[in-house]
Amino acid sequence: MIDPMLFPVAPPMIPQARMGVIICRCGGKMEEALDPYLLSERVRACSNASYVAVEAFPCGKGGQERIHRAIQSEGLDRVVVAGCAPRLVGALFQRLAVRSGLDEAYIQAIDIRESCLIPEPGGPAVVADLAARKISIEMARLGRAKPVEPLTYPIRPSALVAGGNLAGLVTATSLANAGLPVYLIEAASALGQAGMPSQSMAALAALVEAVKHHGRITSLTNAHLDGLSGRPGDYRVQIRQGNRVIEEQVGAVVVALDAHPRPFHSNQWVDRERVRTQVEFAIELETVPLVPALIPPRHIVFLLSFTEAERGGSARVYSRTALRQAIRARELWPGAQVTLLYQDLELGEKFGEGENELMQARATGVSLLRYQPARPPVIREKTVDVFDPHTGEERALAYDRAVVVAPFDREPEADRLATILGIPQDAQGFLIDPRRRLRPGRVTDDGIYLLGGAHKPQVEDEILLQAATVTARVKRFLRQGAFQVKIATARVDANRCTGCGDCTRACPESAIRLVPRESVLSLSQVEPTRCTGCGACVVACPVRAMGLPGWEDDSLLAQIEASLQAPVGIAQRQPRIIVFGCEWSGQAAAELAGVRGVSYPGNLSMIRLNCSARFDPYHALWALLNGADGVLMLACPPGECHYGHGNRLARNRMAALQQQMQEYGIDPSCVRLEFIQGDDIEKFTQVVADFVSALQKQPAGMAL
Amino acid sequence: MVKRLEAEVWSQNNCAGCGLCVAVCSKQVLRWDGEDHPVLEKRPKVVGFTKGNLDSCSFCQKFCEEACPRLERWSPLETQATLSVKARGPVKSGAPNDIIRAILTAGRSAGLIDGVAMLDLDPWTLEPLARIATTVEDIVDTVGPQYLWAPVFDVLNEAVFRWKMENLAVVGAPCASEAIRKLRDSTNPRLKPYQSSLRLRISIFCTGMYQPELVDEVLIRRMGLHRDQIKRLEVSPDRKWLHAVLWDGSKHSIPRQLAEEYTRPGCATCNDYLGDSADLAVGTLGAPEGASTLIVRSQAGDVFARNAIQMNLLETGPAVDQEALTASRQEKGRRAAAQDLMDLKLLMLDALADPLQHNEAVRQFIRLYRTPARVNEPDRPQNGCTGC
Repeated sequence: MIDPMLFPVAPPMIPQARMGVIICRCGGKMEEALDPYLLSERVRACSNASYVAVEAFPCGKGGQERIHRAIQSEGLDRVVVAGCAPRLVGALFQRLAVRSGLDEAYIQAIDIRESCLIPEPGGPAVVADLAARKISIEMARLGRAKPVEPLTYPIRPSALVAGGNLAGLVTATSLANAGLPVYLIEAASALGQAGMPSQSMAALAALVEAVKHHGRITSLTNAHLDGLSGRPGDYRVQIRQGNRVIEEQVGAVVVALDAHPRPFHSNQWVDRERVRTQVEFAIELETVPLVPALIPPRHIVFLLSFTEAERGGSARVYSRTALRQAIRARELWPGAQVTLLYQDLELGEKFGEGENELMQARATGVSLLRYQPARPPVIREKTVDVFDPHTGEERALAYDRAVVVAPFDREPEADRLATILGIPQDAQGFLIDPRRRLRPGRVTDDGIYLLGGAHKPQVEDEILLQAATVTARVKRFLRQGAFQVKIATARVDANRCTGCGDCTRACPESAIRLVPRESVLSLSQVEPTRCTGCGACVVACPVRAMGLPGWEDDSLLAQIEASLQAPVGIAQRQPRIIVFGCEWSGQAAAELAGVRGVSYPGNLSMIRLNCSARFDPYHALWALLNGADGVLMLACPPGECHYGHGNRLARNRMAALQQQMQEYGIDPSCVRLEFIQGDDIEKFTQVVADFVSALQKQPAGMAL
Repeated sequence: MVKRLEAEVWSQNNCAGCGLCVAVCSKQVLRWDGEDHPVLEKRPKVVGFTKGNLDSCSFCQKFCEEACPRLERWSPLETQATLSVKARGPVKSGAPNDIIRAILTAGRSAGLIDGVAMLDLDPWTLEPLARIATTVEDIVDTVGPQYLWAPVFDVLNEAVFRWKMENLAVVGAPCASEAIRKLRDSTNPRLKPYQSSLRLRISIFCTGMYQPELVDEVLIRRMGLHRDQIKRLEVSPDRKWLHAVLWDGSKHSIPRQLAEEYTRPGCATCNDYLGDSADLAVGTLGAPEGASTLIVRSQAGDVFARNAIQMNLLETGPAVDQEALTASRQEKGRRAAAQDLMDLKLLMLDALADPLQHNEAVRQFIRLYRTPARVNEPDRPQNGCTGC
């Protein structure tokens, strides 16, 4: 039987770890405030470092060589380089570690310059104490650091394309032409059905034929994706076709849905022979060269008026479709008068295809008329009435064809795919690529791709461009043969997991699944290729069965311990504050403040977290219990979290903690969460100063 | 006052969702409002010349605290008998819900009970709900608990005060039985009507109830089914699958692991898998193929089980696999650990408010995390440290 009392958090500290501390003189820059030799004495006295040395330029060639020799001759296992700007020189020391036979995780550069900036003239002794504390926090962390094992996974060179319209057909063909087996599934009964009829339906039909007869494409119509498991590079997909379920294994999934035009809708009666949607008019334009109209239209009016709800990312598509159709109409019926009523023409990228079309439309004699938003055009029985702001008069345009916009809906298939693949959706139900800004066209790091009308309605050339980029990415990914993951990913301790599912709900990447095991409780399983290592599950787990190497409980607790160990000289009068800083925001801002020489009050100890998702209220309470006066969590501003929404989780956890403290009669102002950008030093100093002054008014742990 | 529930149960995400506190609240100020736990309502009321929000909760005699099963750690009731059973009579089946129906039908026919409050599914919307069954027909019509969560005590007041039922059986998750156990321990005379009418506790084996959103998310959005296509939901006898049975007779199955992702947060720390506080507990664990395990834990339970067997609605089968039951008992440890951690948080908060608790909190933290450097690094030199 498992002893419920024991929480075997990794072994405390490698007993024989030999620590080396290199103190940087930064070329004498720091020496005005800090005596490095005094600091090295302090470090020797207060810690169990086996080797402490002062170095003028550790980042220089000579310095590197001396550290290398020290690691070799002293047999050091872990090295702390206390100097400046870890972001700048971190990689340099990592390379040095590898050269000296250590793992990258066993060397760390830290910034002690900010210690020199305490506001009161405490003298070199106090400064040295502060710096020594920073070093001992880092030693506590390094003593428990573990190297990250790289994981290698094979990649299966085949792809699934969901959606058999223009985007899907083009992608499938070019992937198959590159020699990859492709499965193409389409929910409708035939390929190439939905979406805006393209300018060349014949070409689309030819594409459909090519796909049907392509040796490497298996196309399935009336087929839905029913389930997906596995990892990027090796997905197992279930495709349901009627009552048949087909199982396939593919390396990548491309979501190439199209947008569906909504059928015509009007609140009043109109002559549907003459009033048509853009889609219907497109079909008419396509058929005219084959079957010429008996009476060619003489007056054609395009109305680009739509409600805010209908706009929804489609305004560009409406504008460009109208322009193209106007040009085409002038070509087909040279005698016709073509008018385009618009409020705003959205043409997409500057100097792009859209602007060319506008110039062409002007050249071919399409008359463009801008109406005022307050007085949109109205379709009457004989005329389209619009207020012309140039003349200040109401104009009545006779029409044979009035072409209105056709708003777009997502394909119904989008909902199902969103749930199965774990992709968020926007208000209209289109799929959102959460990392569009950083890496367009990719949803996960690799493996699942979005394109075409899956995001938002798009016109033909945009779809083709996207198809080309996504195809290139898919090809590059699938041809690697194998890929390597080297980030810390969450681990499950099977002896403690209770299969409650809390982690699966907390995981922003849906990387955790429950699997059965012999007895009554299930077991969580992390898919390392999907895990981004944010640590949300570690905190969510009610039994601490999840662990994130490098950010384990024991390491963080040891750092808290180290930061509260020694009350430092003059700084004793200041409240003792533990700051949990997200690497990307709080920690970065603190380092930058140190580099820029900006001073801020207080007796701070920074503890680095990978993401604010790793903020654990238990740690905050433990710090307060052990004599900290306040706990400050610094997270990235909402929407800017590197891991998705770690900051939101942290905010909720902090709010819950404050609520609980309130219920227990403890002043909740001694814990605080602030959003901060990595380069916002002003806010950083401001936040710290505010927190310090709040704490001075109300010491922590004091009952209300 | 609800204060203790707020601080120790709700804010810890530990609410079982049985709904007994809502039912027994003397001021009727607790209600369900889309949260995982009941919420406290403050009503505007004219007191003297003011029209402030009246906190009627502060006048109460703590009924909710005396009913909440999560404020207590429960040791199992002693097992009197463990049987493997099958339902006989019109429905021949070994599914737990059929066993429960057989026992209840027999009990109702013999006049041992005059009504049942049980978890059920609304046949139209598939929403889980609590329902009162008063006749044998009613009992036969129900589908029984389907591991979808609803507060089973929602109908308690209706049964006790409106229908004046004196012998009421409750069918639900193990936490409902714990709640009744807690209620019975109370010496508050105001709770007497409930105490005297709640006669029989029947539990299903349970490792967690699922949020009703499961139906929307998985069946409707993901599998593309419509609510009106689905006839009923059922958990397969081996609890590996959740089946949606359609009106056309076809069956769609979801692996239980997928459903488990929708487990209520409050179930994460519960270690009562086998209905340890119920008079009768029914489930498939340990039972031979096509039968269920029935655990009898009290005199009352014994009477009902015997009655059903005598009426030929239940038959006993070969022995139950005791090892499976023992193994599940051993797994309690894991969730007990979760309870310990949760208690630790409360203890730490206590210690911050009251310094006398400090040492206890630190001791407990060190015991659970086994980690702080202070105890683990004896080699730290104490002599030359000038900082202190």
